[in-house]
Amino acid sequence: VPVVTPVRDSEVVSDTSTDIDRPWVVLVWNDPINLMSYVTYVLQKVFGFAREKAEILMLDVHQKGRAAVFSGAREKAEMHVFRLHEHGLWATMQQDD
Amino acid sequence: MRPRSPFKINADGSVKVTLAAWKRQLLTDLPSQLKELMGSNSSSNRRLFPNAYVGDEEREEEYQRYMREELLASRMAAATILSESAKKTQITTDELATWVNVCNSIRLVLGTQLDVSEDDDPIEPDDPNLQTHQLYWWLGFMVECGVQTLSKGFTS
Repeated sequence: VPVVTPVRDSEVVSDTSTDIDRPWVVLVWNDPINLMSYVTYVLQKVFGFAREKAEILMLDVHQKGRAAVFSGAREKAEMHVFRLHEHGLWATMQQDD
Repeated sequence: MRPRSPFKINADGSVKVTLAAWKRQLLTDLPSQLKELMGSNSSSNRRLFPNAYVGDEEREEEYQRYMREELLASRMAAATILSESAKKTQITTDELATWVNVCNSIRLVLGTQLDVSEDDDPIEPDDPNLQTHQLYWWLGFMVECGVQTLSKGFTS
């Protein structure tokens, strides 16, 4: 008979850590108005992405309906969402699960 | 045939603007109309002030409380810059970025009013919204040309 139950221990630890560390994800959603070239340009401007990376994300938005463009702290995510809104992109944020 | 871009980068990094007088007049007048619309609670505004949080009303309310004013102020300032620089034949790349931003904002309003979708049929000549569609298309052309010019400045 085991003396300790390691599974339960690790569950407790991981629960606490995911609650604090679960990053916020910024999503850009597809919309029928913004031009593809404009979306690429805004992603380059706001995040400093190379053109190739910005184009891949833009195509994800266009073809899959959305793309995750940032993951990290809530304050930073809010700042990025604001900048994307300022440029007319349809962006939202949510905590990763 | 594709119309020529109105923007050309000069040797000193500034941007030369070639546009007919009536188009410059449009770029002077449209931002004022945009400002008026932003001051109202018209539903054509909705793409200009999107939600940040989905499915979290409390956080969304807090976000809007702090950020909506700032977003409005930023849009108002940008609209003023476009209407005040629309008649210049030479602008900075920062000004061009603002032109692109405001032209895109106006497109968002017009696109919302016209309820455009990605697979719309071509517009018929007798469409009652023909003029709005033409304006929407022209603003798209301005955005496209502006983006092309500005993208040359990205070092990537």
